[in-house]
Amino acid sequence: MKNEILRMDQVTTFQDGLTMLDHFNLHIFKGEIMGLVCLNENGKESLIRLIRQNAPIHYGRVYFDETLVNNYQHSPMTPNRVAVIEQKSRLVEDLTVSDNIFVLRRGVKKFVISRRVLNEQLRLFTSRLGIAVSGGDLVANLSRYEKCIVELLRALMMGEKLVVVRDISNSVSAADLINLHCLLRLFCLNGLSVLYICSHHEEAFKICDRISLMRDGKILKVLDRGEFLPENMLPFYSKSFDNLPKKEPVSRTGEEFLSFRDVRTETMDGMSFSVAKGECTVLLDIDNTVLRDIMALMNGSLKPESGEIIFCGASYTQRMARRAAANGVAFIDENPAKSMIFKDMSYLENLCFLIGEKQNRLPVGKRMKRHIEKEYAALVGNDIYEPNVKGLSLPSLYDLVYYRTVLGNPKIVFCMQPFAGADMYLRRHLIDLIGLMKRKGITVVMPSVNLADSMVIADRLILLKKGRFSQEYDRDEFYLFRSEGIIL
Amino acid sequence: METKDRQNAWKRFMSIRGVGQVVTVTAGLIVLCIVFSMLSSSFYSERNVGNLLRQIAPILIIGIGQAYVLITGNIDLSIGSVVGMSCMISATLMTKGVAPFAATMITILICLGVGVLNGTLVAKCKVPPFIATLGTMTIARGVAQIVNNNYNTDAIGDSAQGFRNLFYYGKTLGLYNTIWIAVILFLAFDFLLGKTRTGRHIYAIGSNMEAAKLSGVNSVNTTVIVYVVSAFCACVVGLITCAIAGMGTMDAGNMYEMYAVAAAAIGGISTFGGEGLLVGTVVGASIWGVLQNGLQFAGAPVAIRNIVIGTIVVISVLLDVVIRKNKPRKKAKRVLPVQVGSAK
Repeated sequence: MKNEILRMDQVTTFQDGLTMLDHFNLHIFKGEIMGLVCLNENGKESLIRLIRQNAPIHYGRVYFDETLVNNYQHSPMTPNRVAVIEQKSRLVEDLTVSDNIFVLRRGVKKFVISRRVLNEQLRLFTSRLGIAVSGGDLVANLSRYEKCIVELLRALMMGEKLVVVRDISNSVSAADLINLHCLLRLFCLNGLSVLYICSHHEEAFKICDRISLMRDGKILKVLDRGEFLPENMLPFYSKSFDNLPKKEPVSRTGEEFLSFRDVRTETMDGMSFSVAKGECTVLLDIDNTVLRDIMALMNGSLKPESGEIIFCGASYTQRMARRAAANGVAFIDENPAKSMIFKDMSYLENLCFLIGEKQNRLPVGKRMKRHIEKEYAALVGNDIYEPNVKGLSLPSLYDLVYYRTVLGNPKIVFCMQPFAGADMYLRRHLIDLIGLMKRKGITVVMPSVNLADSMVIADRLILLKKGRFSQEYDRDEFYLFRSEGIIL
Repeated sequence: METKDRQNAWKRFMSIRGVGQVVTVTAGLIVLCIVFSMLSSSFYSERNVGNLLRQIAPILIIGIGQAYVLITGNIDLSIGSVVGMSCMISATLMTKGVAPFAATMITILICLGVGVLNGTLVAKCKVPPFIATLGTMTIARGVAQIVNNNYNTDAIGDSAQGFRNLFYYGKTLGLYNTIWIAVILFLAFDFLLGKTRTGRHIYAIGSNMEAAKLSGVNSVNTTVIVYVVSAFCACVVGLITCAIAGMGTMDAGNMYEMYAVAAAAIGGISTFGGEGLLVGTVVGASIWGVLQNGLQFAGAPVAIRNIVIGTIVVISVLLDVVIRKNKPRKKAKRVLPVQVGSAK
């Protein structure tokens, strides 16, 4: 008989009057990789918190390792043996791998620490698993993928029963994700169970044994491996995705609007690619090494060691890059709702910010503000009058960032991983927003480590490997790329 | 082959976090020593070297305390006032007839209390460390003033000669006891920081407080420990100051908090926390001492000495910021150290 690690029966929780989990059911067995595809973000955070700690619930029961640990009558607030691996690492960067695995955990009695002994212990521990990790390396020097492995090893060492892997494809490259999936399988063979949370069913199909679909904190369906077919997912997606914007043909003039010519930095090894005017291009970095450098080169915080960047027919120097907005280059960061909103400014002030910056005139004049307010009220509704943006919904915040960018009238926009961490509805909304930029004739570049829904909107895909250009696919060749099995 | 091994060993040594900065400042210290010995022949005289080491010792001791606090990402501004408080309490007790040993113990206990208070305010009550220690700095200075009714004490007397010898005038194995105290404290606290679980917790808190807490590190206890270490070091320096003067002075330890930050920062202890080696503080304190001593020999006025030392402190911190900003990033060609063996 299979050993049950986690069982949540009819769990219902509320927060600030909102239902977070609604008669939620979830069963995870020992050694199993259970997928949880979240169609929206509602309830995801509450669920993870509840799995980690037995916090109060309004209805239902939670069993962990076949023991009743939480129910609606009594919630002891005790922690469960659960590790969470997500975009942000939970390791201590300034300590070594072996310190993180052996020293930083509860119940370590040894006072004097010998580095040699720790490294030897780690070697024995990892060789049993068939993994080679250097215990003396500083965690700060590891890639996100390597940190994931250290976190997994640590979970195993600490005797955790369940590992929650949350939206990891946003931070781990496509190539590393395949390795990570193999490793998760290996750890499951060693008795660990995994709850694999992601927003895209195609990603979950590749690794999970079973998949639960969640929307608004409620499980809609549980799929067994035999049912892992896109058709089974269609009823849940079609409403949002059946009215996708029609892809208009891109008239490629052959003119290079932006081009990198043999650019070298610490991570780039002779990068060369070009982007045509008005097209939407995905830069897919298979190794997750150069994306930050591309952004840094474009915003002037990094100077190429050699090579040249050509923008609008002229050399794009570091001096020009430092005045990127004035030169028609705009940026939208990953998770812009967190990083690109001025929380103490009103909606209108936020919206007008780029214009003011571009004209070197802050604050923007009242007449212009009134004009913008009138124009955008038709698009964003009453949000435009919001004195405080803190209370706005996530799609409204994304609207604000994208409309602000469009208002700045840029020639090219770099959208860093636009779909990262976005649920299905937000992804659909983002497709519209990027489509709007395209219709305005703005060139869009999307540096990504994961394709998510980029293919729906992209005209071209440029593959970057080992710090340099590897391959490019036009829209009508996308199926070739899909067949290589790298797409997630 | 042997050369290659040696190169690899050197690379491994230099890759240890903080070693690069220590090597750089050590090179700087050597250059300073050479320059000052060229400017004045008496710089290397036996007497000056002895005095120089005795000058460096108190700075090193408070530097160790401040280094502990800085590594956790906090700061202790009360160090100087605790030095004054320690000096006044011990001297007052001894002038009132308390035996030097008992006076020393009482002083240490009171100073440790300040450390516990600092740590609790910062870690438990979440008061920003700058404000919390600014408050205790004023309180400790007030205690130093009130303990003998706003007067410096009288001479601690002949009965305390043993105390004075122990902390300053006496020699053991040809070296002044002050130097031995600094060496012993350095070795003990270096061991605690580098070789023990508590040391790892201290680095962990400074590097990533959230991760440390999730890993089961008791952040409150660890923070209290570092402030207690800092207060203890300040207390020892207060006792040395009392032994030097043979009396208690209310303004003892004035500006010492700045000297402590300078010694730690010059030695490569990161002011952002999580990084630095205690041996760097030895070099930092030595640079401080050599500059003071050497510039004095060179006839530089106090104002110039302050300007030079202040500039060096700013450059050291700037260096830390630049190094952090330009941390080597991952190369695309880098081979992943992980190979999956028996994955399905």
